[in-house]
Amino acid sequence: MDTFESSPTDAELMLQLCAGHQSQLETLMRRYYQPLFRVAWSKLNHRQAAEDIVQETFIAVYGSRESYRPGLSFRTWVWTILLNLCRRQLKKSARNKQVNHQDPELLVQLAPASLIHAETGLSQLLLLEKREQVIHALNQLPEMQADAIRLRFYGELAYEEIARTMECSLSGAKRRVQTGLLKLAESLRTNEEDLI
Amino acid sequence: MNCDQAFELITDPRGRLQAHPASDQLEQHLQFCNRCRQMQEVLAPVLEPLQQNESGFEPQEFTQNTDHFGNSYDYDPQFLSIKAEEVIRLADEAARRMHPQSVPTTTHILPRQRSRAFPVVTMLLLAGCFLIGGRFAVALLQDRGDFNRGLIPPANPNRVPLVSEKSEQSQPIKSTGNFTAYRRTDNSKLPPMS
Repeated sequence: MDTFESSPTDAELMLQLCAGHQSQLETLMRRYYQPLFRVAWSKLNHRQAAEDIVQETFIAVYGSRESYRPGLSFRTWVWTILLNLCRRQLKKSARNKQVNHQDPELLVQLAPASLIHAETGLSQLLLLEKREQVIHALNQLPEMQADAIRLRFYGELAYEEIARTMECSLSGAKRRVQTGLLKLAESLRTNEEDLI
Repeated sequence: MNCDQAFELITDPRGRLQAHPASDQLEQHLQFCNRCRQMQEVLAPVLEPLQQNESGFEPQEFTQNTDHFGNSYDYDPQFLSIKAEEVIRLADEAARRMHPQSVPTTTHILPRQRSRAFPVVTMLLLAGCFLIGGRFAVALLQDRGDFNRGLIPPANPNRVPLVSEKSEQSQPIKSTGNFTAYRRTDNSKLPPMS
């Protein structure tokens, strides 16, 4: 019974994909689409651009499936592809100044009425406001620190995976997250003091 | 538990400290480690909005909320199924563009692609060039050898040539002035050296 319930690993799915089972791509997308999309959206500040980048990431995964080696971590591989594509997109948009990547959906974050319950409504609105501030402050951080925080919290990666994806040491990955978080905390505190 | 492990738990992406099996150990560590306790207090206002499961939203609600960052319709199975098909179609199209052999024969082939498509012809042309060039080089060398043999008299091992003899030796060549006659004649017919 357990055999049926246990889900295949990423490496097994990739091997099946190489063998021609195209439906396994959907399973991989079900696992990774949401975290990849969250990180891309927070990095690019644009929903449509983030969707395109995630799609490009899966096109790259599918296109280079033959070169995938089961010994390598699929997670690290897919995150590295996403970060590289995001960087390329940011460079491209920096060259084309007319493209505005400020997404009102991301920054305003209006919560629909269906999510606001009577008891928790205010606290949820406050949380949404804080999230908006954090995302704004995140974009002010150095890229390496911001990426490490995005991978940890939006991508939900372990520190070892962050280190492999960002090609740094384990302690280096932790230091990036820690320094970035301290700067974010400082930034939030300054904002609150300004408001008072 | 050391400070490193404590930091990993404090910065858990989902904020599952209560449910974590090591939460008691973290509590104990924080009681004795001022540094980690201060770190947790400082980071708390940032961690709450960053951690993904602290909002109290149920996964089902994520699918209904299309506007909020990170909570979108992307869990919708229909949506991902369509996306996966699109990804496969686009990747196949890209692969087809990259491999010229999959292009139908009626399609125009660029000269560069054509040279790749017919390596045998290219090799034969190269071999022909080498043969013609080699034959020409051999002919030139042979001609040069005849020329040298006509100019230089045979060496006489019994005699050591003196500087003064050189002028005597070269005199009849210059005086006769018939270069082709010397070149064609046998070495024995050359005027004897005095």
